[in-house]
Amino acid sequence: MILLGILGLLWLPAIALTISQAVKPNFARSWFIAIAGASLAWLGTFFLRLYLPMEVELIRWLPESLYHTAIAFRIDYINWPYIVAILALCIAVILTDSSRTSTNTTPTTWAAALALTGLNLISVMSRGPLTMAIAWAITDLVELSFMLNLLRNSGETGKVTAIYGVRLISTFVLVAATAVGWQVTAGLDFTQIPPTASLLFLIAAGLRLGVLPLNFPMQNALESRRGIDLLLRFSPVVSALVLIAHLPSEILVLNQSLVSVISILTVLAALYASAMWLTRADANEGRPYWIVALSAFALQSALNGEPEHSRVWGLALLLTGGVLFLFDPPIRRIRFIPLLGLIGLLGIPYTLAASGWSALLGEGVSLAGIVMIICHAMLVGGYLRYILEAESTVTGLEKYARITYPLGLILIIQTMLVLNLVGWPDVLTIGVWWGSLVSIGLVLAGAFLTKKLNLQLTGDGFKAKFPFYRLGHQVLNALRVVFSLDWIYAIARWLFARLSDIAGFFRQVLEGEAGVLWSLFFLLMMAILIYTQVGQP
Amino acid sequence: MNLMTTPTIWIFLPVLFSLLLILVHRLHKLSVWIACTVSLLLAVVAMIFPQNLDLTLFGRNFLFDDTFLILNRALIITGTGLKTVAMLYLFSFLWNIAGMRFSVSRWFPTISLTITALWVSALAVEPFLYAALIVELIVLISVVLLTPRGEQAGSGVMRYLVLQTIALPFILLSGWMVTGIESAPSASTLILRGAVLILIGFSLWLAVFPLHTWLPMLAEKTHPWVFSFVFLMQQSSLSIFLLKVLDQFAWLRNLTGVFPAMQWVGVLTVLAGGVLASLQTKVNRVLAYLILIETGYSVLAIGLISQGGGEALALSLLPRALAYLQYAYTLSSIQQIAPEIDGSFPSLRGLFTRLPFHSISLIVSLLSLLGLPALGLFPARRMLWNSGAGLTSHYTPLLGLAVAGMALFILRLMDTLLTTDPNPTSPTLSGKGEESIWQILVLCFFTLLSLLVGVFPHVFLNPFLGILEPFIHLLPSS
Repeated sequence: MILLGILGLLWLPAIALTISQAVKPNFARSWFIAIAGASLAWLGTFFLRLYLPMEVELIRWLPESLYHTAIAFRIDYINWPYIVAILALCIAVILTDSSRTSTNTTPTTWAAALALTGLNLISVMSRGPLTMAIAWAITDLVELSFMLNLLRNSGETGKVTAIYGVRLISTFVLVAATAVGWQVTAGLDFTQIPPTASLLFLIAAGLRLGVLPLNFPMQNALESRRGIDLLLRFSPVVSALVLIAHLPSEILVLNQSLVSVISILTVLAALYASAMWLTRADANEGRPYWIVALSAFALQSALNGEPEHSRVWGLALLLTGGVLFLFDPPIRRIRFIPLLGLIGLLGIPYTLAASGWSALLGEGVSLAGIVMIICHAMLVGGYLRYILEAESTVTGLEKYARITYPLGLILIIQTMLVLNLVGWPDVLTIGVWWGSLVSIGLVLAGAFLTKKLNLQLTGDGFKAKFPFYRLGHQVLNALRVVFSLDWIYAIARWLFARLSDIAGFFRQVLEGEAGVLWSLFFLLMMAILIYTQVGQP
Repeated sequence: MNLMTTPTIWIFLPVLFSLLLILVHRLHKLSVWIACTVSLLLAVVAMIFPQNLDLTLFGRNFLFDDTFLILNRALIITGTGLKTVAMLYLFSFLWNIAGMRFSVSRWFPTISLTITALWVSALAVEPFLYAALIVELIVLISVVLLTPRGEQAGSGVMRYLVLQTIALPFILLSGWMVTGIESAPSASTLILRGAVLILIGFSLWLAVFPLHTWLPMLAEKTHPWVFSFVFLMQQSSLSIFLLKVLDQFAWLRNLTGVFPAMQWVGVLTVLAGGVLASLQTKVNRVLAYLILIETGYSVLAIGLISQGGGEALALSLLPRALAYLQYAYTLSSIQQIAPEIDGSFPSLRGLFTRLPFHSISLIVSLLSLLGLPALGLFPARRMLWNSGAGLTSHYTPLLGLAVAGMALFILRLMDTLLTTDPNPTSPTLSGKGEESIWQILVLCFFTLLSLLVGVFPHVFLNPFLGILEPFIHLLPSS
């Protein structure tokens, strides 16, 4: 009941806002409706915490013997923190969005934010892969329509195809994974995923996250600083992260070499994305890399046999990232607020991400573990850089915006702190304390060197002062070319053109004058085939 | 002669109305409304008619006979067979009512009603080989619709006629050859020959790969609305007819290798449809490949009959029809609004800026046919994919390739629709606001319906499981 109430609190205000905007627009009233709906839904999630784990069956496809399917939700300690995080982000988006004078904030945008958050919750709460596949498909279609509407007048709609294409493939990989899983357990839910299907599930999630294979469909898309855009970017990521967290820990018992290949790809993706994150001009430009880097952390946790702990990196992606990306305009005076967001990423003992280190590093000290610590340091370094470089002093802010803007950011940090206390049993742990220590040490060393050499990553002086800059730049550029996958697209296009030529030739033959004769020939062949195969023991 | 029979209501009555429609065919709206009303009434009555054919109306009892004897042959529509009849008339109604605004042949209402009645009679006639003659009659009548107005019959139509006619002797010969061989041993050469003839006959009728070459030729020249109707009826009726033949003849269904052969034919047809669709640059031609893919899935479902394929087939009939309806409606509407669009990719470039709802509807209908979760065809597709994966590992990659091919076409089309040409050669593409509220509502309704069917299949699709009831030998549990 509470669950349906939460969904109602998101969708009903969304409908109300749309109607009110069409009939009698009123900015203040609309804002209040949006914020009230989202806040009540957010508070409602804390009631859910009292009943975990819980299951709600929404629709059962009957007869059971035919479909073996129910559209059902399951809320447990894996997805509950994500639910809280998504709702916190939704509120923060509405709170901060109204203070941005650079964008055309309208109540329709808030309605979209609420509706999208509701849809997101559906996929996050899915009990089984089939419910998730349905939720993914619907969310993708809604997002597609929304993005097309957003970009309609910009002439950038063509880029949407690549984004939707990746989502479509990931949905079908999820369906394929479900088909494989069903051979073991008909109507399986997330607690019954067999190890034989887990790799396919991992690939489905990896595709959606942009990690397996590494792809940045959003890389060249029109960057928008609107808050709703952040929700659009995070929306496919969240449910994929939940899927990873639900994978069985026996994933390593599968084909070892295949797991190793995926692990190498994941580590490479993390390394590349975090290096790119560190060196972008601003946080907005680095956003796709932030998402891919932390998604790779989550994947690596699953590959190390601790998928459940991947949630801390997922939460860092959403919450720590959310604070930074919503810190726009980046007002110098309040930059201490997003700095607090690092609580969710550093992983120092007894903080939210502390339990993530053991999953990320695996057992013992390995090369992958060392690389991951370096990646972590680069992410922290980049985060600090973007905040410390904030030099903006906004003067024309409305009175209400002086409260709502920081309030939105504080709410996310508040959520981190709450999750740090009640997120899941044993959330307060020391973890692998030296992981964060080494990472912080690397950041400090980097900061010291930067200060000492008076370097600025994006400045011209950096090129001259930094040793091996040109080599590093070349390597990064080469990696960028490789990971952009443009070469794969070029090969695919070439193959497609050749295939089209061959198909064109056959078409001419079959649809030409001699077509009927060819049909009779095929008929004869078919008759022979059937005659020789049918009836044979 | 007993006229209180089910064939009188669902075969002779619509034929009678078709004759009446010939007289008023020039009054297009009137004939459409008559065809719609008759089709809807026949569909509704078939749906609610008591299974024991004992109808009580206004306190009076009417006991209908399920058999009508004519020239010593029987037309039999049993109570359990009425679900199929209802479905066929429902399709006829949908295509008549929604197609009212398109400038298709004036004869469409008349012929659509006749074709529906003839398909019902093909499914009802005993002995079954007479169905071959009725199918030939349907093919001949369809030619009138398939030939564009004021034009000569093209090569596609001619090939359709030729290959469908070639199927006729195969079915007739098989009927003659296997008369009275029920008691023959299953390995008998006669049975084998009979089975081969029947399977070849059905392959020609259904236009499975590689006998499909006329389909895209025909689709390119024919109005999408007419094409989708003719081949939806043919595909749906022939699938059920194949089930009937398999149910009726134990020697055929017990023959080793019949079902695996069907599975392979189905899988290869789906694969060919998917791969060939991916290479297309004309949306009209793609309609043919969509039909091919769906035919493949139908044959695969029948091949997987003991693994739940029958149910998958029954569950796919309505959503498939709705997806065809949406695709053909959208395409016809686009060509009605902008006659300069010939369905080729260059002519569709940037259409989203001009007709956004039509563009999205086109994509959604294709996604539904692809089997995207949450859309109409997904529940049936999922059953087939799961059954196929459970049976052998060979089918999964082939079906995966077919899905990938189809998905590739959808993405290419999407890219074409969304990408605006920086130097537009056609000034007409810059127009805006050409979609009326009514058109938008209809397109949204189709999408919503597809979503509802996909999310609530047990509500919308379970009644169609009744179509399997007559096949008590093939599907003992149904």
